[in-house]
Amino acid sequence: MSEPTEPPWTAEQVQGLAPDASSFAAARKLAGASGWSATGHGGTPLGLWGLCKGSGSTPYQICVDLVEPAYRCSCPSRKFPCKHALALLLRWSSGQVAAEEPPQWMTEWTTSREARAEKKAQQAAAPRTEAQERAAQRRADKRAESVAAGIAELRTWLSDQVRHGIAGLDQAGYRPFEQVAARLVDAQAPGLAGAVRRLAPVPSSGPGWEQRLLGELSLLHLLAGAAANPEALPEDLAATVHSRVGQAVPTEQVLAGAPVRDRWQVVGTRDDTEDKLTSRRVWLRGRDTGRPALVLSFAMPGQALPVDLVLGTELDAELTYYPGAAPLRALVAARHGAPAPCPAPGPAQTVAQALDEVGAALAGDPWLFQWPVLLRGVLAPGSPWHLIDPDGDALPLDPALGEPWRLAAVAGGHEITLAAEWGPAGLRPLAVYDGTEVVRA
Amino acid sequence: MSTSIWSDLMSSALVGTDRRRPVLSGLDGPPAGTLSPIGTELDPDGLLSAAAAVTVTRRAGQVPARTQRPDPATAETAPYASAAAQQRLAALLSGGDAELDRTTTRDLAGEWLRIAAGRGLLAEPGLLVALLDLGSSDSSVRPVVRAVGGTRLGWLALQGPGRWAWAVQPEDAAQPADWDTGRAADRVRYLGELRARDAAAGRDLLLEAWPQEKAADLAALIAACGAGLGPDDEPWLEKALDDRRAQIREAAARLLAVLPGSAWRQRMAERALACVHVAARKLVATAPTECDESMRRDGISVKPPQSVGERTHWFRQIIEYAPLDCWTAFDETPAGLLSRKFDDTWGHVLRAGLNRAAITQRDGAWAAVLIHEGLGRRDMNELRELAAVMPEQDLAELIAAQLRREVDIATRLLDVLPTPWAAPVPEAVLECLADTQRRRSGWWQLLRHAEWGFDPAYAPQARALHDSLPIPDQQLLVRFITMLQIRHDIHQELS
Repeated sequence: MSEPTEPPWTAEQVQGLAPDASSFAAARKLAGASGWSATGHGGTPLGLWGLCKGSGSTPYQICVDLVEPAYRCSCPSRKFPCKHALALLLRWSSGQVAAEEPPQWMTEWTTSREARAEKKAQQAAAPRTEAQERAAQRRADKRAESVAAGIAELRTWLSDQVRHGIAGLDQAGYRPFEQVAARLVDAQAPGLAGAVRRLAPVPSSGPGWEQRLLGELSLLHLLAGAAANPEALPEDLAATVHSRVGQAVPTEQVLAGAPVRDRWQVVGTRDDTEDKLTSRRVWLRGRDTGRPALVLSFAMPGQALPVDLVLGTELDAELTYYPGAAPLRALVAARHGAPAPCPAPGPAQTVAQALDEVGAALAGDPWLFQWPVLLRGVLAPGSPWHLIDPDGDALPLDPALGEPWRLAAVAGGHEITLAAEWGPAGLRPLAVYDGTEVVRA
Repeated sequence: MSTSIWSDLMSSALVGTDRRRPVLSGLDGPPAGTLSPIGTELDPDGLLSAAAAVTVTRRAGQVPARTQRPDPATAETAPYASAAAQQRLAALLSGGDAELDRTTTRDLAGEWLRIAAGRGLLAEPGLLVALLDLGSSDSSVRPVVRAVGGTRLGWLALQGPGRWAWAVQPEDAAQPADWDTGRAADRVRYLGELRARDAAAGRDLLLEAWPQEKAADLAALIAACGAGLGPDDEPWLEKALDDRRAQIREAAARLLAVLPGSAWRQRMAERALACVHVAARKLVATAPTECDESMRRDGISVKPPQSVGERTHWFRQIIEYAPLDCWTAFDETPAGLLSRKFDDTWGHVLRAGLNRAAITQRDGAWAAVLIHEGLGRRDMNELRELAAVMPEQDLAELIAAQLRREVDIATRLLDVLPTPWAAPVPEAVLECLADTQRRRSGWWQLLRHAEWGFDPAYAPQARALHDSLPIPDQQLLVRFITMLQIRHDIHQELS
């Protein structure tokens, strides 16, 4: 049987699942309303269920798998999870849901999900036919050809910039970059296209832009050079280069890698929208191994991002890393039990330790522009702001991201744990842990 | 180590290698092994390779900075509000409620702050930035924001941008410097505070400055002496009446009017009584025929506003300023006097003057009697002014009774009833809302007032009423019920 003694999530964690602010506001209202019946939690895997009176004659059925987590509700809402599921989670978080035996409609859902997962695993395991293999090879060859042409063009463009001088680029706007990026998208090198697009705002980023732009152009030159000749590279580095160019690694291949089991702590999450595509970065840190990991997911407009990793929780799970010289991106291969609250993640690093880790990672992947750190110290406002560790060593925060006054208010000048992304321009705060609660940046 | 290489590379990259070929002048350290030998001219690719080596080396070799630690905030002594209350405030401050408009959520946040401040509860640190921004745009909430922000608020404001400076220190008492160098408003405030502490010192300060002050400033400073007013002030105020500037005389007269036992009150009472006498139980009034020197000296204005006759103007002022207790010369109680017949010629001016007197002298007993007559005349401005000086309970009962007769007039009087409304007003409002057959003009207005006027403890009764109505009528009450429920929850969460 499950362990219904598992402490429920906090309201803050539930809020982290909400697709938008209005859903959560609606859920809060709904959670306090009458009209709930047959609520309970328990079963294997640990689940949460209930009936909620809606506008129709039959109440909505809400099922939540707390391990994955996954949601189902019979309401017609397109939001995911819907306000009913969120409201049920809120009721659970405030101790209003008792441990029960799951009703039939709950076990049916659980069973059907398990069956689907099994079928998918079988399909993935099935060997491909010879014809399929040949077709796949042809596609791969064609793609490689196209990417190679794109890389050659990029190298020429980079040389041209330096040949003619970059001094005028601050007058040129985004257009020169957009054109090159579009060409690289056509050449099926989306990673390079993204890297070129990230250059576009640099010339308008204020004093010192020339220095920053030359640095980025040079790294792109390094990448394009490596990508033009990957056979010359060690296997790990070649994998890093491929992923930076934008070549997808099949999920099966990642899952087949060596799993790393740990209590993975979700220390920060961040959503970004680039070119209509929303991406969610979930930063993990293993409590026992101290290893960082990034679970990245994407959603097209109208699609919902997965919400299975919740800030401020930890999860006993196996992760498999994408191949590379400084492995960071990973997939959750297997879970062992439901997530548990994690108000004080660790082990926290000193500034020196974090910089050592960043240096080692850069040695593997010189194109890194973000790396997660978990620092213990004092947040010091200023220009720029700093995080000062107990040894007195400090790291600046990226001034372009604005001043995190709310985090400063929570910290109150006392020592806190800061989850942040390291970047060349400084730290980007993700969350502050003051020992009892987590506050999202 | 890499600074000189970098600047060589940078200057070529800026103008272009076509114009300036980069030559590595010197290098050492980790990048050395990856670069072309010293003295070689670099092509564009060579420049980019060298720049990449320097860039990666710099990033990987980042060293920790050193900087000043901030002083930590001191611990709070007051308790924090409950978790539910914190979530509530967070939602109100973000305006994240689709059902209510921005202004309403802001008002509700104001209510949260007032209650929490009253109960000595704190808002959690994560909300302080939102509260500082609220206070920066709306100075009326600053006192309560300061109260619920605790020591952390002042600490944060001290570190933060200048627009938060108002929260750094609790509002100081006015400083002596304000008197010497401050703006007129600061000087008035300083004098008022000094008078409240030490009336004699304030008086001396004012008399010393008197000759240099301009008329408008002096009038405002005299008015500030209302604080700590006592018999010792009569001599200098009497002297001020001899000033040739009307503003000064009027300011002095206002204070003498509220100084018990002043000679001014006595003079005004004598003037009023001289104009009125009783003949066969009827009050017969005669307006003065001239505004003599002594009237002018006592602050009576000579020139009437347009379309008002001189005598009416003088007479009305005399009645307005004459202490209301002078009328005991004719009758023991206000009701007694007002039950008399008033003569046709000047009687209406006498009545209007008495209304003004009740309002100006804030006499609740007179107002309570006069308002009943006012209801007949339906002069809303005057009714509201009278209502505002009535004792709260008397007004509540008056409005409750009026709600059963004329909803719109009662509604307009609700403006001046302090909130939460005293019984029996809420009961009368619910009764009025329940009577769907008799819906009158002013009903909507009534609902809007009731959202804020009701004590939230009435939420269950209001909901019961809502549930008992037919569906179309329920719709009309949704907003009222919602607001009352939210306010009810706010009160509960903060208890």
